[in-house]
Amino acid sequence: MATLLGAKRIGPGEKGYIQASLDTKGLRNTVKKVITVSTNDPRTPLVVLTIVADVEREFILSQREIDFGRIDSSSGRTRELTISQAADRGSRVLRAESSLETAKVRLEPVNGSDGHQMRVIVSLRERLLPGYYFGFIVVHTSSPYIKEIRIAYRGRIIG
Amino acid sequence: MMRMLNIGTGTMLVLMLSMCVACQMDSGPRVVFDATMRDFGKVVEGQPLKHRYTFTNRGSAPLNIEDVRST
Repeated sequence: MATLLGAKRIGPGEKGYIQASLDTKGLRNTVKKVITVSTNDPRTPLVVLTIVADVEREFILSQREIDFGRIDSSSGRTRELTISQAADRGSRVLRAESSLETAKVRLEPVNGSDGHQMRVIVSLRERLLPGYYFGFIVVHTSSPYIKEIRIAYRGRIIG
Repeated sequence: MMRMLNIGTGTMLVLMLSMCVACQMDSGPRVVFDATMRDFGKVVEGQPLKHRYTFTNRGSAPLNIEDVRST
């Protein structure tokens, strides 16, 4: 949390302010932040200011990453997860793309979810050389706060 | 005579008391915040929260904000 003090010295009868800014990215559930202010007022040398918020996730992922594991010629190369819209704020999943050419991604709405749940289907491309593969799936949303959701994927092709 | 003396003493006492109270109210700086807590209720993750805490120096001497620390 960041704070900004209007003025350090306030004359008799004058007003002052302390501005508090809190970035809620990565925060969950009930959040309580405290600001302590030291003054030369002998009766109130310390003032405690509090900010409280109940932070809700806008989108909930069924899993945070995709692990293809070891892939041989008989293994399936497709995995999927689900993104659910948690808070009813009207934001939607718009599109998804892979950070690398090694994977393809497509979105499909979950039947009966009225667009509030999307399947993110990720496939490793055919004919990749043996080796380790890492990348990100970037899901773009219409949320003004969480514009992108990054989902890591990894896998090892052994033949 | 005694009655006049009593009235005089009473007036003096009231005067002294009020001076004392006024003295206590005004001497030195006095910080008074309009509110010390802000509850934003339900917010969406990523939403930036901003709040301005305002205060007044209701004392007779300059108020110094010596330190501001946040968790």
